[in-house]
Amino acid sequence: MKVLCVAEKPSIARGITNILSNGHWESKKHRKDGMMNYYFPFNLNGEHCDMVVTAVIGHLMNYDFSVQYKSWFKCQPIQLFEAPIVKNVYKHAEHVADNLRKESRNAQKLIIWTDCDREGENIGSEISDVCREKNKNIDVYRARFSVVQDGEIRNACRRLVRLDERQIDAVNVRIELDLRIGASFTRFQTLNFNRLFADLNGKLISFGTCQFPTLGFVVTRYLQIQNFVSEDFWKIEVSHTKNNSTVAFNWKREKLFDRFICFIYYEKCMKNCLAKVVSMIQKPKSKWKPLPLTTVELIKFGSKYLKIPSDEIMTISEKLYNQGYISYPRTETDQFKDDFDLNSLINIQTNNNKWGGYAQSLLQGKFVKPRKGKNNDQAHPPIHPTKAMTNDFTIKEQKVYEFIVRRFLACCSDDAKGSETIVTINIADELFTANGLMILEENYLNVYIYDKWGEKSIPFYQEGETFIPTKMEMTSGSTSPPKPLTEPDLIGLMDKNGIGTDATIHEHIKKIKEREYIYEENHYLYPTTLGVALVEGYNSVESNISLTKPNLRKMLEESLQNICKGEQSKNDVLRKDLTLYKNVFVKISNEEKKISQVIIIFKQYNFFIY
Amino acid sequence: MFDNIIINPEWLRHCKEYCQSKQLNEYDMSMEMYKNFIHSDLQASLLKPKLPENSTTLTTQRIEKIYLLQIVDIVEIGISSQNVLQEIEEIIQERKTNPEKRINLKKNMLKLTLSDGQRIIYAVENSPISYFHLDMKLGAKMYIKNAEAVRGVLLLNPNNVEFLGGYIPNLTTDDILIYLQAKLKDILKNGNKKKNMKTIRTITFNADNNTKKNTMDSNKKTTTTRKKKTTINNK
Repeated sequence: MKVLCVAEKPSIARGITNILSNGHWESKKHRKDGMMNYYFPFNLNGEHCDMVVTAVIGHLMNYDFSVQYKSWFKCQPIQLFEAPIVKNVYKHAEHVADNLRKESRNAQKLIIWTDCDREGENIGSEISDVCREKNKNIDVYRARFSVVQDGEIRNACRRLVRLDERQIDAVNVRIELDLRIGASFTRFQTLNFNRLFADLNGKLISFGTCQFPTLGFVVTRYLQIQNFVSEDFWKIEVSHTKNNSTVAFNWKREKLFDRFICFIYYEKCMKNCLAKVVSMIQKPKSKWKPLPLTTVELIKFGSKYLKIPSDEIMTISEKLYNQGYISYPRTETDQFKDDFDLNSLINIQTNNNKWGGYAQSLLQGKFVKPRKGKNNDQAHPPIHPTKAMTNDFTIKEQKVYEFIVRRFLACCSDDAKGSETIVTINIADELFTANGLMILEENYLNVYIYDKWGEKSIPFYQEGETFIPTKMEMTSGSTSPPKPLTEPDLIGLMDKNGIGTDATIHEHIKKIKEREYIYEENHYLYPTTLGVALVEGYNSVESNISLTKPNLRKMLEESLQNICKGEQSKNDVLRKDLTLYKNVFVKISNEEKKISQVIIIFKQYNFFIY
Repeated sequence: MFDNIIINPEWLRHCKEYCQSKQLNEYDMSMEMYKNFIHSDLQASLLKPKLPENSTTLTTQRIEKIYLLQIVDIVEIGISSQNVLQEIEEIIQERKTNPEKRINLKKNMLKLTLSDGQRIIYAVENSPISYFHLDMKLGAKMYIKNAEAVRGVLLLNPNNVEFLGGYIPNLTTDDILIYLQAKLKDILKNGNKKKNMKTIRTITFNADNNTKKNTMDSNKKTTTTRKKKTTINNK
């Protein structure tokens, strides 16, 4: 029996081959510029067979409109909501498809080894379709795995399943929606607004259902800062010098935006300035160790601590995964299963000269079970290291790997423990507090160098003790505008609002940078005048449904998840969501003149006189 | 408890007539009159002001009388107006798709302007009082007793306020949120105007695939705008 195995990338194909063939295989390219195929005998669940392992290079099929609708000038953009769509093999994937057709012709079984997520399932269906072209009765299976490692791969062979039609449908719906909505709005925008931006020189003003809400976040924050009005506030500051150290006491009311009222309280305190200690509490305080690592956390904290942009982090993680150093980097799961073997993973790290000693200490008794978060995508575990690092990686790659290891070891540690002292005093019935913190055990902080816990010492105060403060002042300050978004901030906002998935968040950010809707300066994100003009142009159209706010895309994402869960049918979602966007399109088209006017105003934004 | 106030007989007569027309029994009638009273404007329903003449500078450890007062204005002084405005605008936006959404504005410290119908005195929540919130209807009645006053500001605590409720029907517009939004915008407009302008980039694409015509046009436009920029900077 011949069994054809197809992975999503050549590196995975190599990995699988190495494991299942026990190191003995033959390889051959099906043609000079073709894909590498690996051949070896294998006992598949009791049956002897000839295994052929090969790969694809991502999606095989391209969706596009049929010829008559391809030209921008031959049809109205609105027609794209209903125009027929054709599916064809990508030109650059022709040789890949060719190889599949050839190898599947005389095979009895086909096993799909694509990544275990929605897109992977969909690519699996494309592979299956191509193979069935020449071999209608080939039996199609699906292997589920998270790490390219011996145990997992062999287990996957033992527990083959079928392709999940619902996930395939969800992705097909996504592709169709993105195509119709993306194309129609892109054409509309470019044709109508291109002339307003001279420096565009005819370049596309592209539209994407995720791109625009992402841009919307950046523009909203920018305008918030631009429109910020600073407000003055007042507060009472009390300090006391005792035993050669000066303690600052914070007013319970913090601050007031009414000078007169603050003054009233200040005067009361001044008239009756004897401070009485009403409580002195010492209590244990801990700083919790981090949760197991998800994709969103990886790109958020990676870009914050390592200063590497999110799309680069994803590329690096994929490389590390393909070569077996970390587990599947696209996961929403932030809890380890109870029977997960953490000890052997910690053991792998004991030889490292940076954190080996710490790993050793965990195995020698300092180990504490990881915290469990609330999320489990039921497909992959949290991201963790699976192999010891070698030196053949670039500095950036090593930094990302190091972050993943330190995070993993921190998860298996104890929380940091300290002791907090809170002193509360009463001056003229107004309360003030001072805090002190002493760290007793650093625990996870020893390995997770990205978290800081600041110690602060204060002298001893006894309940009932009275004193006259050394200093009591009424001071003023004023509010300052929020800072511009950083990439980790934007990732957090997108995640919170359901824009993009763990697999696509970084892609959307990269896209709007490429399109020059936003740019980055000193790690802060700013919109370009093009970005501001577009968003404000669309916002000027009064509507409950907005293209630049996350609600619409969030609804779409929920519909896709409903398809996966079986709660909504593919056609149902297509019909509903397309109608929704089509209505928005009609509204926007009708207000085209108004939008143009607003764009012109905002284009001139930088030239307002202040 | 109304031993301190003198009701305007004119108002009382109108009220009695109105209540009698409803043909209620004695108990219901007194309830109806009470209800009308707390929904009245004290300027119309009370005869003499009871706050002292120096109400706006009053300073005393404990006020001797019990004052019946109505709220004529409320301001949040523990949170910046900008933040309050932002929260209100978010709720207005949410109510477009979910009209029944509850308003639960964050509260820090409210400052009230209280009136006895003729004179005013200020008050603050010395400690939080659950009856007061920024989006409440103006004209609510309460009595204040035993409170400390400092320079014309009453320091209120739950134990020196007895809240009666009610409101004055035509004092505020129907939608309290819209009213607050306009009010806050006004405060910000006339307040501290330290604006922060940051010049952002205009797009600059590589002039790779241009036709001659386009290049000329775009050059023309960019030179003009560049000129504009220099003029402003020089100013």
